[in-house]
Amino acid sequence: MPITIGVLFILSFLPANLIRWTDWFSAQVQVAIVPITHPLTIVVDTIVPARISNPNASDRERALLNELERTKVELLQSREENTRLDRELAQFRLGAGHSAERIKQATRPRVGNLAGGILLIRTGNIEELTQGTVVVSDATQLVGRVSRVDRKTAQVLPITATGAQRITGTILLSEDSSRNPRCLLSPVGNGTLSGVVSRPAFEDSSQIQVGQEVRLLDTLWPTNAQMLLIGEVVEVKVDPEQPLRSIIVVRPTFNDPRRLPEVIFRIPDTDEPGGRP
Amino acid sequence: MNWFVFILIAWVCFGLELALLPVFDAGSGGVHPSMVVPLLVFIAINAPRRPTLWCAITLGIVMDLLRPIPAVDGGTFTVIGPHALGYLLGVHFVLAVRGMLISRNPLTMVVMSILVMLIAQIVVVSMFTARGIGDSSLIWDAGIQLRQGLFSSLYTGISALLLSFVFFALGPFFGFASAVPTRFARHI
Repeated sequence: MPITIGVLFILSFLPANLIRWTDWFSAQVQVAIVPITHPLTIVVDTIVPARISNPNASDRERALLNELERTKVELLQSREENTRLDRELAQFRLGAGHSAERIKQATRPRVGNLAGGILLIRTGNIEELTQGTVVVSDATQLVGRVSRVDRKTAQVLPITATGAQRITGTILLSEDSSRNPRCLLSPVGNGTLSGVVSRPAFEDSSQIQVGQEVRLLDTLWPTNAQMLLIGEVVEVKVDPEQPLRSIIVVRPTFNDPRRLPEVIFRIPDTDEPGGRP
Repeated sequence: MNWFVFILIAWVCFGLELALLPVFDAGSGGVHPSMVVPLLVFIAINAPRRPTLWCAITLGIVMDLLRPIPAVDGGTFTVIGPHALGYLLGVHFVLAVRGMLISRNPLTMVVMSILVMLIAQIVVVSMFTARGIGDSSLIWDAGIQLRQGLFSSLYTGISALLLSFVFFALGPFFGFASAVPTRFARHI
């Protein structure tokens, strides 16, 4: 017993790069626990159904709405790319081609949750699924990023989890993206994100209203994730320490990521279009 | 003690804890009841000392393996030890006072579960905070975690109350060999 306690104590304080081997044990325990958590999750979801967006829509209507959202994201991404290229042109740095990244999407079911708000997704054998892969629901609603991949499962850290990092978003006020205010959003812990809005101009702050969309515009995220929907503004308040700045509270369209039945992985498509048959 | 029954019940408890997490989570704020701690308390009240300590270590290691901690690089780390040591210390507390406890009373389970959970959470938060002094690769806010741990401990009292009736009914299957000596009551 004293040896065990000593070993546990040492393991607790080992540097992060020396405890990577624990991932394998963690994956085995998760596999062992899934046969009980998954049926229980199904029972719980049946008894207490999760709120889904637009519940009255038929499958065809939902598919059309998803397609519409996808097109909207592509349009916004193109606009953002055009703005960036315009900026580069102005600085005489020509040569950067349009880097519209092709992606392939894979829908996979959630089989359970882990503590800390982490989602456990059954992935099967998806090639090129790596740590950092962007995860969405309902076509374009940003859920989070893959934090760990095993042979059969992946862990997803949602943007609303308390351990998630801050993200930069933009509030869509006008078609000119350079005039849209930016915001640095942090997870609050109750399923929302909150942060201070930085204004390009003074008069823009008054236009921020409840119900406006906030989209991702963060250089720390992959290109294919830009302009994905973070959520809608549910509250606008004045920062008590900086009265000229606004604080917004943003809620994603899903109520709770841990109740999502499935998620979509957005994997960069590295295959050449005409390369292999 | 029947280890097969213990493993089976522990498996169900872990399943319940993870499956019910989003439903019983108070406002998605990380405050949720533990289903594992009431089992540990039940074992600690009834089982001999040595198996109880091993149960605490086993449940704690499994809990550590099921609690990846977000890292600054966007990944997660699994740190083995904090929950195992936390549960061990909590169980030591129960072992120290169990001679004065009414073992088959749901209120005993409630109070002991709250206290064991609180002790375990304090140990976990302390260890991760101490670890963070030399290693800043993990995302860890001691204040938030301690607050969540405190409220989760109180919340665990509710799950302990409900589970105590189940555990009392399953008591004979655990095969606890001998009665725990009590200070104020004679052995039956």
